[in-house]
Amino acid sequence: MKPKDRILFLIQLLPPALFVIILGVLPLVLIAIWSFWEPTTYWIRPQLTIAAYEKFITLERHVTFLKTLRVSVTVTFLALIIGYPIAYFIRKIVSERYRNVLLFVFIIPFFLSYIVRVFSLRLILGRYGAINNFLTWTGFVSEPIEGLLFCEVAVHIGLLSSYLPFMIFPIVLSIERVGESTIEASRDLGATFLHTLIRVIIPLTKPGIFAGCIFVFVSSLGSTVEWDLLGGVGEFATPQMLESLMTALKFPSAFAISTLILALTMGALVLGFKFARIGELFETLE
Amino acid sequence: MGRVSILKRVSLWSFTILALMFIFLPSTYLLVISFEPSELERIPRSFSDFSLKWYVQLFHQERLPGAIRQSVAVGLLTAGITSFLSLLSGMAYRRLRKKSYFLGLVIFPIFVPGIIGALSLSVFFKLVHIPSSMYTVVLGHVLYALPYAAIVTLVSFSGLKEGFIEAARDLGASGFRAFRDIILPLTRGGIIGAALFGFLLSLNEFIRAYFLSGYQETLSIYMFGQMKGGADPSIYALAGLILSVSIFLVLLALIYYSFIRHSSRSFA
Repeated sequence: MKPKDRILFLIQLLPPALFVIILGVLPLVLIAIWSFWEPTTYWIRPQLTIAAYEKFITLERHVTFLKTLRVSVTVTFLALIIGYPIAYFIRKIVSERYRNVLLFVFIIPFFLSYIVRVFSLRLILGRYGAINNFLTWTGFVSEPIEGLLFCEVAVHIGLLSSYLPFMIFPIVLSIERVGESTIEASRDLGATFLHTLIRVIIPLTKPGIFAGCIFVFVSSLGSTVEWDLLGGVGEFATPQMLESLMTALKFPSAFAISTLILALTMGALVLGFKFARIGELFETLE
Repeated sequence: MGRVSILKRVSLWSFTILALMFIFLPSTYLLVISFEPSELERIPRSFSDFSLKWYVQLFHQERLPGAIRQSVAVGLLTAGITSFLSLLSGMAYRRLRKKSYFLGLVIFPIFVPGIIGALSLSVFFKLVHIPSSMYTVVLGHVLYALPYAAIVTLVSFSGLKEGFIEAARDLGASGFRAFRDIILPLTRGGIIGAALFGFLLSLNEFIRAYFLSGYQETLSIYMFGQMKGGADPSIYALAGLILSVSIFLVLLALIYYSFIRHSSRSFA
């Protein structure tokens, strides 16, 4: 490159790269480091300690953490078994015209307010909600059912409805990469559909499955709104715990929990890139 | 495709439609309920019962206009910065040798849980003495929208053949001329898409705005407060309004994209 071109290239490259490094990466590194610092009255000071991590166990914060983890894993699993057939259907079975319509329809929720979408579930699950109205109207029950809203089940439903599309798209992308001839070859060799699915299609779409699972898992792990609006009284998840620790100025504790979540997320990402080759999903861009 | 049995087709269609109902019915139900004039959470009894009562009520909410203004300002700024950074990413990406590193960096924020991103950024701003304001929210929102916007832009850049640019340069066009007359028109769809992502994601984002905003709240924060506080049914009207605005913008984008796809087909 000529010097002038090189400068131009740097002018194009540096703003987006630095933006993400300074605001998206550096703060995460800082809170990971600061989680090992000592708290002072209003802030922290550079004195190495693992007190924040000890409190995580002794104050039983890990109970909430594990609960959030359990819910996130369940939601991810549900999203996978619901999302996979839909992704397969969209990419391999439906005609091209309907495919584009379906893809578009599944993208729409991404552009809608997620707090409104979660809030609207209250109108479905509540005591006077759509489900109870329907059940009493048909006479299935005489009294409205109480346990649908403000409980963990409602949180699961909320998370699933928020993040199901995030599972579908990466899987559609990876199914796109499985050639029709590969599937036909397997059939011609006498494999049943189920056999082809398990031995050929699912292994080949591992990148999409992994990417989708990481998306849903990470998003569920960091969601406040579903717990706030659909969870029961005192239903407390890690995000709420972080909020209250921050308000109480207990910074190292908040940073320690954040670091644990980050470590989990990054671990999943590294595994995904190493063993499931998530990077392949973006090859079309290269 | 012919080998797929009717039964499988029908069951997969039903399954997909059920999933779509699961995703869309609650919001639709909310939209209908927002027209019910009484305080009950129910569908208006008859067609003549549909009323804009709760929408009119919104005009009397003191803190609402400020929140709307704030959200629109933050959204527009986010849209502008996001699409500019996406354009730069697209330009740089063409010439990068190790593309996957750059791509990995730009889409990295997708994989950071919302609350962690919000919390770490708010602490970082405190450290470098940037007080919370509209601009801190904008920075948080650009970070949130950039990965998606950059992907959209890179897709549109991937359709740009180097040969077009070389041809322009060989014919004597300056670098800027080639940018203005070749690159910009051909990647217009991606750049506008990036701006749209920026605006809509910002408008509807809650947790980052909550952590990063100063005294003036955004629409999402205001709405969340009303939802938690058990407000009167005007909250359904407000929610319905913001849903309608988002859907309107998405449809507008759909029309625009089908239009440029038709006009570019003759070119490519």
